[in-house]
Amino acid sequence: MSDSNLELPPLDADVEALLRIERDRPSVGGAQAERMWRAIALELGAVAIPGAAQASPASHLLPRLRGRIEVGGTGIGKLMLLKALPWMAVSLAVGSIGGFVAGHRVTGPRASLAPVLKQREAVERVGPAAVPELAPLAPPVEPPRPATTAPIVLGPAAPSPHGRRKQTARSDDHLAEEEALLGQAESALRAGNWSTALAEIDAYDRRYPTGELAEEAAWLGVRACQRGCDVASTQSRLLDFRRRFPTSPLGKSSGD
Amino acid sequence: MTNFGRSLNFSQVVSLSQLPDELRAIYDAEVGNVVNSLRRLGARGRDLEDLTQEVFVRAFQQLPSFDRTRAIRPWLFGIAFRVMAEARRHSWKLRTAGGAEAPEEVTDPGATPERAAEIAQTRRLVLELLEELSPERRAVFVMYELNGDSMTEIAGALGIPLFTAYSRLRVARAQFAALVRERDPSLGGAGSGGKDDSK
Repeated sequence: MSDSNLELPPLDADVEALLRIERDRPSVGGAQAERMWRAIALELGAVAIPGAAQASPASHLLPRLRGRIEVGGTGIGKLMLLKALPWMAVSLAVGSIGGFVAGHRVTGPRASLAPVLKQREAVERVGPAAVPELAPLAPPVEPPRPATTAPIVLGPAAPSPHGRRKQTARSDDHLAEEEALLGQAESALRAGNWSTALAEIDAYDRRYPTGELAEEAAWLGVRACQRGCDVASTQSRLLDFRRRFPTSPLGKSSGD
Repeated sequence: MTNFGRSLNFSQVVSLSQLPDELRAIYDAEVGNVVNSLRRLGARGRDLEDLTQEVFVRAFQQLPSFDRTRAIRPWLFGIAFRVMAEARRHSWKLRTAGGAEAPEEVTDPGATPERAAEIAQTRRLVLELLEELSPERRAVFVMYELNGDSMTEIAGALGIPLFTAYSRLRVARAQFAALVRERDPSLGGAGSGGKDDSK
């Protein structure tokens, strides 16, 4: 993995081998790709692509589609009203309520998804026949594959995962706290409050002197100091950073 | 197919052949990466197909404002990440079982059944381990380690400062290596997280 800004240390060979196999995962099959493309095309047609032509050669289908949906809705409404009538005859009060409910269901606003599905089904029914000029499916594009590597098959989980999981969870909490503290410092720095940022970083250092993000914290301190400290303090922080993290890619980046 | 609140308008229906050739070319070139990226971000089964469609629909809608000097793949990943985040926010029950219409996992051609099974098992393991990372760290990790994007592209695609992207990657690397060790203590040895030994 190369980067124009930062050079990161390589991953452990075993982890790298695992990831390489996932990297080589093949693409989707042609039939699935074509099915998804058709669905996307339908969706795009419905939501209008900026710059796409609005007049459609398929527009002659629209009256038919509208008619189907309109007729279907009216038919259902009539049926429901007929079903409500016997109830109204048995008891005026109960029948009124039932009629009101049924009437509301018939004439009230439609659920948002129902017409979408109905319209989509209608378009799907007439779509392929109406579009004989549909371009043939291009073969699926697969990325070039590097030489295959022997897969790593891991054995069962470690014998005593319970304690280890607890440790991982605790470590995760620490990381989250560390990230939060540094996030506050970074926000303060972005807002121009370099002294607040430095205070946050000092708080971080006191709390996590050997934290996972100590390197980032130290570099953030240098950046904050550059904004407002005197030259000697800035140089002191920078030298301290380089002494503690001699191989750090931070500070060598032009964009950071 | 997901809806995300859009409504259909029949006056805007166009035929498939009216879609610009460019869109089809982008789709053909990138659909595999989008599917794999969504899979690595946690989408499974039928959701994978729905979310893939949603990513391309959004991408094609936003294409006119896309800066053509940028790489399209990280940009698509950024959209995929947001689509996944939205799906999670909407409390979708992301299905884990592969439905009938889920994109198939194409096996490597030429691989023996035993080898194909081993490869599939390894890939499942990687996806399982990725599940343990937070969505933000996972996105950076997937982009850098699996998709091969640069840190600058990652920061741009996810809309985060380069510094933040770097921090997330470092933590994600350390966490992933720890998870590998947890599964098998003989693997994922020292040096995987890039931690400085001089401290």
